Amino acid sequence: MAEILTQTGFDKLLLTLDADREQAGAKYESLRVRLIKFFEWRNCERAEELTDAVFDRVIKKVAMGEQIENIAAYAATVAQFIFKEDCRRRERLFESIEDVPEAQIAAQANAFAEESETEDERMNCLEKCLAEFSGENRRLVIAYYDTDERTMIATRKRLADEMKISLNILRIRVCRLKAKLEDCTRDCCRKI
Amino acid sequence: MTEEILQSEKEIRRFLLSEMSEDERSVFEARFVADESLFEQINVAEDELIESYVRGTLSTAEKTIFEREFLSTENRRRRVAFTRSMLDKIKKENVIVANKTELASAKNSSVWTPFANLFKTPKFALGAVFALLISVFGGWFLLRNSNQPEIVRQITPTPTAEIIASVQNQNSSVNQNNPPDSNTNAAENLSINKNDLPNANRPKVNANQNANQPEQNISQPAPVLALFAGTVRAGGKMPELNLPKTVAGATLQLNLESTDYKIYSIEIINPDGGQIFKNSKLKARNSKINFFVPAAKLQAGEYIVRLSALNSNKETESVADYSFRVSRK
Repeated sequence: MAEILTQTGFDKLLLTLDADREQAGAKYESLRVRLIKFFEWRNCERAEELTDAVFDRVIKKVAMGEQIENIAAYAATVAQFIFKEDCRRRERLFESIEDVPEAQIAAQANAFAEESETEDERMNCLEKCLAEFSGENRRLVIAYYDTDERTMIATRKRLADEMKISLNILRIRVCRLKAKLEDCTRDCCRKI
Repeated sequence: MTEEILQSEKEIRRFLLSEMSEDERSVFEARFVADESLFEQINVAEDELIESYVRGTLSTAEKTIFEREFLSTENRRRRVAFTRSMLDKIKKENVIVANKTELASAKNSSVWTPFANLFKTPKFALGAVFALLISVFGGWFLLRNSNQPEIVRQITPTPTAEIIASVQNQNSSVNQNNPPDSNTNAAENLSINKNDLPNANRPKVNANQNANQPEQNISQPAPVLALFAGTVRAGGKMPELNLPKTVAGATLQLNLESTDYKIYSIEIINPDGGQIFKNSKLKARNSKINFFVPAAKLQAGEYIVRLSALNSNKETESVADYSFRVSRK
C-alpha cells in the first residue's frame, strides 16, 4: 500500500534541500523533473506516478529522522529500486493479461486514442504557442531550426557567433525554448 | 566544441540509445539525477537525436535502435510527432513570410524596377549590354561621320533623318534605362528587401545573456504544489504557490487520506466563491491526484480546491477541501 505523505514530512524534506523555503521548493521541482525523466528514459509510461513513489519513500526516511546528506543521490538510488519493483510488477501483469476482460483493454486503448491530438490540432496550437513567444525567442527558434541537413551545423555555429555565445549555450537555450513550446502545444491540444 | 563535450555527447548518445551495460547505466543515472548540468546536456542530446531521426540523418543502425528502444513509449512518440510538426511549421512559416515580403516589395517598387529586374536575367543582361555597345559605338560612328560629310558620302549613303532620330532615341532610351547609379539602386533595394525579412540567421538576441541566467520566456518547469487536506484547519501555514509570469501554469498535487473512488472531480474556488477551474475526470494514483491549472486562471490570492467523487450510487460526495495561496512574480 502506498504511504501517505504528511505535511510535516514534506516540510522536513524541503528543509533538507535548502534552509530557504523558496529555494527548497525550486530544488524540489528540479529534482522531480530529473526523476520523471529518469523513469521516462527507462521506458516507463507511469513516470510521474513512480516519481511520487520515490518522494514518498524519501520523505518517510526524512520524517523518521534519518540524516541524508545528498538527497538527489539518495533519490536516485531509491528510483533504481522502484524501477526494479515496477519491472517485476509489469512482468506479473503480462503473465495475467489473459485474464483482463477484452472490454477493459478496448477502453484503455480508446482512452489513449482520445488523448492523442490530430496533426491539424497540433499545427494550430503550435502556431498559437509560437505567437505567444517574444519576438526575439520566436526568431531564435525559427533561425535555429530553419536549416537543412547539409548546412545545419554551419548555420548554428554562425548563429552562436552572431549572438556572441558558445554553441553549447545556444543549444541549451533553444532546447529550453522547444520544451516550453512543446508543453504549451500539449496543454493547448488538451483544451480542444 | 571541446573534446570533453564531444566525449560526453558520445556517452549520452549511448545512454539514450540503451547501449550501456546495466551497471554503467546505473552509475550514469545517479550522476544525472545529482548533476543538473549533465541532465541539461542529456535533454539537448535527446532533442538532437529526435531531430536527426525526423530529418532522416541517423545511420541505418542508429535508426533501427532508435525505433526499437527510443520510440517504445507513448510520450516519446508524441515528442517525435511534435518535432516533425514544428520543423514543417517553421519551413512553411518562412516560405509564407518570404512570399509576403516579395509581394510587399513588388508593391513598393518604382516603375523602373521591372526594367532593373530584367537586367538580373543573365541572358537578357548580356544581350542588352551587347546591344548597348553596338548602339553607342554605332551612334558615335554615325555622328562623327556626319561631321565629315565629304568622306562619308564617298563610302556610305547619307544618313537619313530617320536613322539619326533612331540613334538619338536609342541613346536617350539608354540614358533613361540607366540613370546614374540605377544598377546600384536596384542592388540596394534588393539588399533592403532581404534585410526586411525576419532574417532567420540574424535574430536580435541579447548576446550577453547566458543560458543559465534566468531569462524571460525561457522555459521553466511548471511549479508543483503538494496540498494536504485540512492543513489550515489544523493550524498549519497555508501552502503558497509562487507562480512566475513566464510559466504556462502549475501542477497541483492533492494528497488523499484514502482512495475510495475511481473518478474524482475538482473545482477551484476563488475568495468570492466563484469557480475558476474545473476538472471532472481525475484518477488517484498512489493516494495522490495530480492536475494542471493554466496560469491564466490563477491570480494572486487565496483559493480552495474542492474535491468530490461519484459514489457507487452515482451521487456526488464531497471528499476534501484543500486551501492554498497564489503569489505572482
